[in-house]
Parts: sequence; C-alpha cells; structure tokens
Amino acid sequence: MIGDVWTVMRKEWKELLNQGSSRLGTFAGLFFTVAVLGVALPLFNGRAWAEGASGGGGGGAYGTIGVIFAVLPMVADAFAGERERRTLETLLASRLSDRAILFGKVGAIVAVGWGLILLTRFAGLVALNLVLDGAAILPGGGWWAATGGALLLCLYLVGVGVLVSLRAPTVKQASQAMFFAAFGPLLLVILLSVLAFVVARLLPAAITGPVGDAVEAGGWIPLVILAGLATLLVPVAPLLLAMRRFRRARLLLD
Amino acid sequence: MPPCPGYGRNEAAPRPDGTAVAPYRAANAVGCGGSERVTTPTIEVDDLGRDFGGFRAVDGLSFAVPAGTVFGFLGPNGSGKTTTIRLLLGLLEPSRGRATVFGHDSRLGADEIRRRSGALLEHPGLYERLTAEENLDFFGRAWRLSERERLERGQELLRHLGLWERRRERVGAWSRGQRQKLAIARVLLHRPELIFLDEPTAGLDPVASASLRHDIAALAGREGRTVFLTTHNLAEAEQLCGLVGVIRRGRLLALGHPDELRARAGGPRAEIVARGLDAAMLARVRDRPEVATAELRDGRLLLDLRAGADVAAIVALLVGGGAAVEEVRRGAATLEEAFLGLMKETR
Repeated sequence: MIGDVWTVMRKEWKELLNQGSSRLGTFAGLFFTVAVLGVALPLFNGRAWAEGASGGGGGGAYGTIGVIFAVLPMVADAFAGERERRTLETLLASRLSDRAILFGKVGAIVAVGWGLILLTRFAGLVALNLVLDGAAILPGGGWWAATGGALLLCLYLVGVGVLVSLRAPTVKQASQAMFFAAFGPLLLVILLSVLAFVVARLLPAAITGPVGDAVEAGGWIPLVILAGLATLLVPVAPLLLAMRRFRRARLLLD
Repeated sequence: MPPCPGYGRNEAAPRPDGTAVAPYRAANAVGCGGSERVTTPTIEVDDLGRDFGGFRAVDGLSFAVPAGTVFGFLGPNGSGKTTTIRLLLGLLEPSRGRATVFGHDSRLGADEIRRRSGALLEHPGLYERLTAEENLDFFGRAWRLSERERLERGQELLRHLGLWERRRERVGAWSRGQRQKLAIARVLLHRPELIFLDEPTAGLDPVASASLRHDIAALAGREGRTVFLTTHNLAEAEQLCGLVGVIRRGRLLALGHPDELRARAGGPRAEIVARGLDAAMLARVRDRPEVATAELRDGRLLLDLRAGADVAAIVALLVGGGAAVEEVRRGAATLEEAFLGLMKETR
C-alpha cells in the first residue's frame, strides 16, 4: 500500500514539474515564490516575523495564504483534471487500490503545499539571520504554531478540494466549487467569531461576568482542549468524507 | 470431432524466426463443435444489465469467453460495448445480473480482475506531461514490476512499436497514432492474462495496424492470453477473432464463430466473369436447383448458391451456351455483410 501511494505521489510530482513548457520555468516560479514569501516578506517584517507571538504576524499569514493559493490549482486538478484529460478511467482500471490513489494524490499535494510553506519559513529565518545585526534570531512558539497551523490548513483545503474534484467534470468547475466549499466554512467561522465578540460586548455584565470569572479561575482549559480538538477535526473531516466517497464505480461520470 | 474451419490467422502465428506455431485450439472451442483443449471461461456474463437513469445501456447480456480466445465485441456507436468493458473491470456496478472474470465477481473481486488485466479503453489514457518512459515507468510501478522488469519490458515494447527514439519526449506532442502505440505498450507492459482493447487500431497507419493485428493474434495463439476486442473494422474482427458477439442497443444479437455468423447471413456464393453472357443464359442459370439467386452486373454473373452447389455444372452450362468464361471465384458472405444484415433485421 505504501509503495502504491508513493507511486502515485511520484507521478503527481512529475506531472507538476513538467507542467510548463520547460522545467526551467517551473523552477523559476519556485524561486520567485521563495524570494517574495520567504525572503522579502520576513525582511519587511523584521525580527517579529520569527520571534513574535503571532507567528510572523501579517507577514507569516500572507506567506501561508500565498502558498495555499499556489497549491489550490493542484487540488482542483486532482481528479477533475484526470477526468478532463481522459486519464482517470485508465488510472481506475489499473491495479492501484482506491486508497493508494486517494492518499497518493492527497499526499503529493500536501507535501508540495506544506513543503513550500516550510521552505519559505526556513528561508525567512536564514534571511533574517544573515541580514539583521544582533543576537541570533530563533523561531518563537508563535512561529512554530503558525507553521503547524499551515499544515492543518493545507490538509483542510486539500480534503475539501479532493472531495469537490471527485465529482466535478472539469478543472474549472472544480476550482469554482472548491472556492465556495473551502472558504465558505472558514468565512463562516470568522463571521461567527466577530459576532460572538460583538454580542459579548453588548450583553449585560450580569451575564458576561460569571463567564469572565470562570475563565480567570482556569475554566479556559477545557475550552482550549475543545478548540484544539476542533482544530484537528476540521481538517481531517473532509479527508474522511473523501475516503468514504471515493468509490471507483461512482467516479466515471459519462 | 469435426474439424474447425477457418480460424483466422491467430491459428498459427509465426515466431520471429519464421517457424510456425501450433494452432491454439481452445480459442475455437465455441461454435465449432468442440476443441482439443477444454478451457474454463475467462469471462462469464449472466443477464448483465446497466441503466443510466432511464437509459438502458446494457440489457441482459449473457455470454462466455474461453481462455485464450480473441473475442470480438461488435456493434455500432453507443451500443454498449464500452459500458460492458467498464462493467467487467468493475469500473461500473451492474444494475442487474452478474459478470465474473477469472472466477471473480466484478462487484466483489474487481481488484483481482484489474490485477490480471490490461485495458486500452476509449482514450489512450496517457499522461501527456510525462515522457513515454515516465508513462511506462508509472504503470510498471502500478503493477509492481521490479525496476529491471520495467526497464527491460519497456525497452522491448518501445523498440517493437518503433517508439524507442522518442522515449524521452513528452507524449503531449505526439501524433494520435504514436500515442495509441504507446497506450498499447502500456497495456502489454505487465503481461496481463486478459487484455481489453477498445478500438485499438483507431488512429494507426495501415502498417502499424497490420503489425498490431499480428501481435494480437500472437498474444492469443502463442501466449494463450484472452483478448476482448471491440472494433468497427469487421475485416479485422474476421481475421482475428475466434468468437464474435454482436451487440445493439445493449442487447446481444448474435454470438458465435465468425464462420457461423457468416453462414447465417447466407450460403456460398460465386462470381463468374465471362464474355457473351445474356438474359437468356441468366434465365437458364436461375432455373438450376442449386442457384438461389442470380444477377448479371457489368459482365459478371453474381450467384447466391444453396449448400453443396456444384459451380462446375453452372460453368459448363454457360460454356455450352456460348459464353467465354474468364474467371470463377467462390466465396461466402463476409462478416461485414452478416453484421449489416443483423443491423437491418433489428432496425
């Protein structure tokens, strides 16, 4: 099984590398991404990019989002692309198991996405240490948390993307559906957070007071655990659903 | 046991050194009253059906394909040929009935079926961003061939198909025929026991088509592999297949050896080219008991004969009447005529 997953991953990477008219163009694109997101942004943000509690703050977030957007076409291409280029049926007619095909594709995209994020973030650390004077700049807890969070975000987007791509007849349709499917829930979470904040401000102290007291007394620990579990579950849920829906006999649409 | 007549060229495919190979009789077991070797069917289909919404793509198919046979699955566009292949490979689930391949139900044992099969489907199914070598490497890995096997077998097939010089080029830039050849290499790479070929000669030049036909014949005749072939080229089917099924609107119209199907389309025929043929002579020929129909066209006498007809007697009649006979050709209905007849009957 692992060998088959690796076979699919290798194929995906080779296709990605050969995407343009030449490999030189692909590597030039990679160089540009690292130069902007991994060197220019960290230098613009300075020491706080690595040591700040926000894990690189706005610069870190831009870097992650930039890479995610670079990877999104790959996700949309996962199955819809194979279907559009008339290779899906041959792939499904091969000896490879359902799981090997699914995990191979997911693994290849996550590895590229998160690999690029790691590359840009470590490039940022190196750039900061080379350019800025003073004590060595080491990544803080926020930096590590943001880097781990980027992996979860990658997993979530790839899971949603694959889920959408499984049934989409073309890459274009998969991309459009994926945008709403992936970013809709994220926007909803942000909106609900803002709403909760506003409501908390508007509620009378008689209601918010006991909650605040409980949080100050250490009652926040279960909340953090709950939030942590939700953070892990949200990225994994679309993948689990994709595994459930990946059935050869339902993938040929015509 | 009666001898099996005319089994096409797959009967004795020549080896590369030019020596003949013993005929593979198992391929001819169906429709000719027996064979030297009894083989279990590679494919067994029983009342197989598949609906897409309200559309019935495959409707109650039942047939069996013995191991080592080239099975020709013939039918017009949209008749259900590709859907049947998809059902056999477990890429679609049947709405009714069942299909077993190598004894495995296509619903439950599709992984095993695919492991032992190779399929060239409607499209070549090649990764156009990859080179020929990379494509074969991927599929070789998918079938868990060792690195040595992948290299050796890949080289052998690419050389055989005349693609070796272009092995490091991306497939996307290739012509349709070259892609089709590479797709055939992909199918044969892991030496499958069962080979599905959906219109394999489509897009190939005449030389490549002839070469592929020879290869298909050798696969069944020499290596005992089963080939499930769909084609619109009826001459090709006639030449290659030990068993033919004709499908239309999802239903099987006929099944048998090409000779059987041809026999159903009509009895023996003769064409006599002669000078001095006239209406009176035609009338006398028509009166002969062994002649079913006779027609005079461009100085040629076209005859549909009854079984056991003596053409020599007809020639003697013509010569006696003063005609100068130049050429006599005997024949039978072609598979194409049989096929067209079936299509006409069910229109």
